[in-house]
Amino acid sequence: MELDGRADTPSEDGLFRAADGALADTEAELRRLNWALAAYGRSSSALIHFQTLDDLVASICGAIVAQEEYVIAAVGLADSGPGKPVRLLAGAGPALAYLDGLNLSWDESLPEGNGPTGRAIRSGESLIMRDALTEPMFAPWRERARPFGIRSSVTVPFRRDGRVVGVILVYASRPHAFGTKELELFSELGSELAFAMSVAEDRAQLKASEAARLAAEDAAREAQAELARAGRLLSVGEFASSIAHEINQPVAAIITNGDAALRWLARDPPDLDEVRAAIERMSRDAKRASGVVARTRGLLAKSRTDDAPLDVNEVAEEVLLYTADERRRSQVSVSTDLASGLPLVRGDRIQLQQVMLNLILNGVDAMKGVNDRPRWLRVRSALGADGEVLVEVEDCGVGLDPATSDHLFEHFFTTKDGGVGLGLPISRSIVEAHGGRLWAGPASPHGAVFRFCLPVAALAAA
Amino acid sequence: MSEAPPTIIVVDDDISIRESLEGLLRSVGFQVRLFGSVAEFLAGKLPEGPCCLILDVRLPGQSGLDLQAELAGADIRLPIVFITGHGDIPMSVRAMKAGAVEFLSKPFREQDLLDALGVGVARDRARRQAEAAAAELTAKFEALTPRERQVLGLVATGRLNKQIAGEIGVSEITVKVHRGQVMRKMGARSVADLVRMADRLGLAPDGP
Ligand SMILES: Nc1ncnc2c1ncn2[C@@H]1O[C@H](COP(=O)(O)OP(=O)(O)O)[C@@H](O)[C@H]1O
Ligand SMILES: [Mg+2]
Repeated sequence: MELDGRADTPSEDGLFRAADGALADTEAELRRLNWALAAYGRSSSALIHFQTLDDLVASICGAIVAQEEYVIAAVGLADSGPGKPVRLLAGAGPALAYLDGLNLSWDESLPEGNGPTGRAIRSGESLIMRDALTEPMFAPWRERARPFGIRSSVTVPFRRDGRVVGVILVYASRPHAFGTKELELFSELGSELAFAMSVAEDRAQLKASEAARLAAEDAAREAQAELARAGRLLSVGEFASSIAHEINQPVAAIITNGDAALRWLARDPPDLDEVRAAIERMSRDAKRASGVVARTRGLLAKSRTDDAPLDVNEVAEEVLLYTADERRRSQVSVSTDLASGLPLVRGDRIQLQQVMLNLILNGVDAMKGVNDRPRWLRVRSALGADGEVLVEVEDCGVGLDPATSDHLFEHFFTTKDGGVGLGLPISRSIVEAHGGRLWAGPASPHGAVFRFCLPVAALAAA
Repeated sequence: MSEAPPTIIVVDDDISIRESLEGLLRSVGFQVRLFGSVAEFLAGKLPEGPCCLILDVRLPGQSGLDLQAELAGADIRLPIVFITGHGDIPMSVRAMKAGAVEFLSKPFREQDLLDALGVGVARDRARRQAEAAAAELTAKFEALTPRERQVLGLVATGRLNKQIAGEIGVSEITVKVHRGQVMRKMGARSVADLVRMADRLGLAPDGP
């Protein structure tokens, strides 16, 4: 209504024009305020959720140029290198091409260092270029800016730790487009940006240290695997299957050589040179197979190859270390309850490690099918009633099957796919060779417990 | 049909296995090439005639299954007979799904191996023959003049000489001459034969 009235009224005296101007100013002010709120709102959500600094800067610039009269918004960083260049991080707006190939600098001794950007960075104060056509400071860029319709600009420095590190540049298509309100908004955005930069750096540092931690973990795992290899601590299953493979290869070759020899013989006339060659290969392969058998026998010999004083707790801890990977893979947690001050036992460290390894891996195996309760394994050591050292490995797995539990220690008794059935009998013979005993029982409410005892060093040595 | 004897390529890291296979395979008349690793095999050239690969599943470095995938990726279609000392069932399933001829555990029965190789070689021979025939047909087609190719295309769609003459703007006599040339150059015994060839050449059935 008011507008209609105004349109009907002659405005010769300028009175109305003044009112007109005031009204327009209020409207513009309102619009600008709305825009400022929106820009700030959009930027602040970017400030909270940004992935990379570049994305963040790009979205802030985008939010600024959403206001039509702003034709460029850009963020530059002050570089202290030679020529003190200002590196543009990102920019937006229809006239953005104006900045292409423009050398921005904050070096006082260079002509390009004395425009609004250079001055703002050096002084740390925001700078308004009110009218591109008249502002002397802008003279060097005037012609370049003309085709882009740039009429005014503001340059707002921002700081980190008190030092100016960069500027927000905004160009408008209208002279006198920038006032205190805008300055406030842009400085606000600048300080948010500076804060985001330090967040981004912290994140990068965190990432780097995370990568370093993962690398260290890898190295530790590698070292552990190496340790296991060096200790030649194979589980009985792996051991048996590698021996089986070692024997199977030459045996398979012998069979094929035999087939070949028969075929050469059946020829008319028989090719005796080929037959001889095949038989020579058979004999070589047979020697190879029997060599494997001989070596295996040596490894499995009941005689203890070593007879040293040992701390069973140490042996247990070593084996737990060796099996850490396997346990992690099978999601089994371990608790230890190792008695301190136990007397030493005498024996072969590697063989006793074998025993514990077999018991632990069996426990892990027994829990593979358990999905309704946590999988845990408990390793305990204690002093027995008769002064012997007692070791227990308890699991909460499927437990012993009463129908077959009499056969556990028989050679080749196994209930597992791919099982070999040698772990328990070999473990028992090792323990007995050390003058001890190995036996099994149920755990409650779930699982099985395997126990062995060993005489203490003084007794064994006697 | 005086083709060279088929070649069996053996890739196994165990020398006992390699040499025993060589003896057996030569005794039944195959040519044999031995390799101790996938890398050695890949460094060599493939034989000219029909062949089949005997591949150990577990090899140091690149495994037999890796090689199978690599060959398939490179579109080298060698029939493969896998042998393994471990009896890996999941692996055998994988290998067979990927098109292996057979999967044998060491020690294998001689007859099982020879049967599998027979299948493999036959497959390879059939593939080679099909490829050779296709190549020959293409060569013949390429020896036709552009006009003759056009006529072939139209004949293949079942057009009569008169229609063809109208369509390409020449006399019926000229069409007959072209058609005779096409039959001769392609070595076709009948029009039906010619249409089949056009089909195999992938000439569109509904005309150019
Ligand atoms: N902790 C256990 N819980 C339940 N059953 C077990 C456990 N340890 C061993 N067994 C049973 O004893 C069998 C023999 O074990 P072992 O001699 O180590 O051979 P393998 O582990 O190769 O089967 C296993 O197959 C399993 O049936
Ligand atoms: Mg076991």
